[in-house]
Amino acid sequence: MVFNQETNTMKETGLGEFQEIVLLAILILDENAYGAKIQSEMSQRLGRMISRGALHAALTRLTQKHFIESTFGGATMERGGRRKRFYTVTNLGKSALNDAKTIRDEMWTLVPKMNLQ
Amino acid sequence: MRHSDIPKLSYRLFKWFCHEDFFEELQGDLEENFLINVDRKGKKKARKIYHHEVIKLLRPSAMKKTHILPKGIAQLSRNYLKTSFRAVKHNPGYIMSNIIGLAIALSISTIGYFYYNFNDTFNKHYDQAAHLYKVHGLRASEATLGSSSIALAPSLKAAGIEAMRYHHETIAVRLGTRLFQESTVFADPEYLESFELRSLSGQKLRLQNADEIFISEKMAGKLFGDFYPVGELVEIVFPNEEERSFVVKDVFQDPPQNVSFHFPMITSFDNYIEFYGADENDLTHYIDGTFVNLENIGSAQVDAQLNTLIEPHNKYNPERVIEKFRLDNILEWPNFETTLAGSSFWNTLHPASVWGTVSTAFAILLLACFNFINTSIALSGKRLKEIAVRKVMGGSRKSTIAQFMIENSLMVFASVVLSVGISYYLIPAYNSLMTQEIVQLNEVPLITLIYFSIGLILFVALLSGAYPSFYISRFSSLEIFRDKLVISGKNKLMIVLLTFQFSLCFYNFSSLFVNVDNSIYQETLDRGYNLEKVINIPLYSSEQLSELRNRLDQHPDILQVAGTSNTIGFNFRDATTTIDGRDYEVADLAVGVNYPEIIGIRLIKGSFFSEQYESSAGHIIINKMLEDEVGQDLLNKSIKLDDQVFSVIGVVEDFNLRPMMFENRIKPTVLRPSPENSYRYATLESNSATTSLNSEIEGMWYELFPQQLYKGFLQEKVMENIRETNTIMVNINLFSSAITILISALGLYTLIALNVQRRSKEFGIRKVLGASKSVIIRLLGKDLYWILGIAMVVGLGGAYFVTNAVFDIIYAYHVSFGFSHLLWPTVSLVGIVIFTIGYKVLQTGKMNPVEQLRME
Repeated sequence: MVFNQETNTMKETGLGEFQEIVLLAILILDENAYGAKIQSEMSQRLGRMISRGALHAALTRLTQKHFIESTFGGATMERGGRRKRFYTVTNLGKSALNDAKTIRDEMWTLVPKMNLQ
Repeated sequence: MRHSDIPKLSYRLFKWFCHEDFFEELQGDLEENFLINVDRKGKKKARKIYHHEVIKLLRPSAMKKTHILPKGIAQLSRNYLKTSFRAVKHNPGYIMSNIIGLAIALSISTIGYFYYNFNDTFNKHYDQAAHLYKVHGLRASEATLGSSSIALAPSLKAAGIEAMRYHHETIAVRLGTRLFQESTVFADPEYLESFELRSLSGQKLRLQNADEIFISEKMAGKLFGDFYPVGELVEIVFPNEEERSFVVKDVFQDPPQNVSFHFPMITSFDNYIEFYGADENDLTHYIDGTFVNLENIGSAQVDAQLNTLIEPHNKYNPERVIEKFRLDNILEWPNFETTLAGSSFWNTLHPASVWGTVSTAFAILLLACFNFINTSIALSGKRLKEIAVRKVMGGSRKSTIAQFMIENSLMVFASVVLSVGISYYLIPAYNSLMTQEIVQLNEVPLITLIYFSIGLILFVALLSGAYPSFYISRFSSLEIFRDKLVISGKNKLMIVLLTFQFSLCFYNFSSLFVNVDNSIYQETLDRGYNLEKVINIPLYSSEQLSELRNRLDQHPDILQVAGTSNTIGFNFRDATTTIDGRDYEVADLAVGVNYPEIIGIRLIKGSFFSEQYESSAGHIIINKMLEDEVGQDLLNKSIKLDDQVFSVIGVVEDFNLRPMMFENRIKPTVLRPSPENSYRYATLESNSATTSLNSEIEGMWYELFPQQLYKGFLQEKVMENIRETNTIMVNINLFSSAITILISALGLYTLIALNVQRRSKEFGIRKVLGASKSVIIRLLGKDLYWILGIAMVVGLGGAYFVTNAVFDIIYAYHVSFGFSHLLWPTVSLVGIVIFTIGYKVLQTGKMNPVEQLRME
């Protein structure tokens, strides 16, 4: 957890909920994390169709923040001979994810049980 | 490289806008998903998803960073935009009025498009439409038979042809103690295989057991107040009074409006056979239609099979002899459905109504474009110096044209955006004016709408932007700087366009007045009998009359009850009568003895029938028209009808036999007494026949005959069609008049205001030199008198010919175009024009010349 001594507040991780889910999907898919797979994984988990456009926007933002990296794989037949771009989460990305989780967990413990029933 | 099934257009669009760095990755992903979707959801759905995915990739992060245009031009186009926005900022009022006018016209075009689309995609809802045909019986001189015998489909099926029967009946559905009249379709299981019906979740429905029924979404709400009443029971009372429960098997989606088949409930054809006592081999038993699916069989083979069935058909149906059977595709048949005998399916809109709406929409769009052109020219007159400076600084004519085109396209684009908003409110309002919902936004695929609006933008931008751009860029800078050039209101094109606009206004106003007048005329037209006080109740058997009469006599508002076989306005028989050895075509009505008095036919001479049938048999009443045709006094003479001799005991004034539309004019008519055992209706006279009285009688009916459906209706029902038509005609005219006058008035005001602004110095000098107020006003209005004068002649003349032609087609009797239909439109239109520009003109006339000359 990142704690700012001066302002006495928690530092934001700069991670939107959608981006967080993208990161998690990449981690789940591990070696096989490329666009179409991430898209179907997310659609399945969230129970709604995620457009490739929305995913692309998130991946671009995450790359700009250096939370993920990508490399081209080999060409395959079913994609008209086009290569896949595989994504991996960087250490910075992992720590951002952890921060996000910690903040949430912390806040969950502070919610009085009564209010959740 | 593109997989051959991937939609070409979307692919190319994507390739064009996508950033090179991402294209390989993204297209690869889209293609991979596409192939998975083809497997899972079918090609059609997969293509649709692909389109949507491409549209959703239209976002900055995926698009090319370099602009569509090379760098230099990009810089330039930014300057074009900057100048455009400045131009808008200088004249916000005029430009806004331009944009609003165009936006309204665009919304109307959308309505025109929907009318066209309604007919164009009629029955295309069914995937197999191209293979589905209806069997029709071609006859020598009479209308083609739309219905066919119940035995046709089984004999085709025996020959291995996929044939299916479809029939609808109005039946009674029980809800608690009351019966409701509903339409139910009886169909073979093959019908649902070919004309698929989808459940709410999109599953294809199949008819399996005879005791199951499918009901529509709307019906589910109506019967059960629940949108998914699967497993509930529907109680149906059949004509043999047997009551039967059906299990709701599933609920189906209501189809779009433009298909031939609409029904709230559908069940197996076996039920029809059982409950209506039909014999499957009975060649004389007619049902709504027989359909065949030619997907797996050649039409020649089916034709050959049908030819063998002509002879047996003709043998058993001597009154319906056919020459041959003809197969008509379900995409074609709705166009001539109304001409078929005995057919009752939904049909396409009358071409006149489609092309009428499309041309009205087009005319309004043209009007708005012309308005746009006029204002653009007038506005650019103020920018001549800007153009000259551009030219002197080295700007080419091309760049000037580009500047104006970009400005105009921007305005058109703004109009399109605005028109979406207007349509959102306009379309429901428009639909509520019509009796049928033709404009259905949700039934049109998104992609079609997008193409439509892109096409519209290009069309309008070119039409309305091109001329002003070329016209204005033409002038030489020298002339402009020397102030030699004057773009006055004298531009010929501007005058022609304005004249066109006002012709359209005159036309619309005039048709509005005639139509309003005509609908009043139709409403008050004497039909020769009493329309307001009569209710007719169809009987199941003539014995019901006395029971019903006893019950009805207790009601204080009901004056008299009569039985009758025919009712005026709804049915009669064509017959031939012989008088003095000559034959006359007449309409023959068999009526109860006191029916003529109840319905209020007016006697000229002689008397009505006496109270008892026995003493009236052999008597006949004729109408004036028949007597006039014969040309002699016929009272107490004898005439022959169907080889029976009758003596004329009364002559009555002419009355109408049918709803008075189309060719339904008054005919020579005879009324003869009908024996009591052939009564088919009870007709009653009341103080005032209202729907509330009708429902009171309905209550009494169910006390007496709980198992039989009450079908009573007001005599006023003869007005239904004509009222509907009148409402539509008046509403359409009101709508288009309001819009044309709104757009034209906006345009006229803009032109006058700009004219005043430009010529203010001229007017100032004229005043200083002694011109009076009225001279100035006359100067401003000079061209306007001509424009309005010519427009009046063209518009009113057009309205005269068109409305007369249309009325002749639609109505049996109608108002004729008179002086008042010329006067009132003129007065009101001139009034509106004066109101619009009057203040501006007066203000200019009154203005102090010092103010006008002091500028700069």
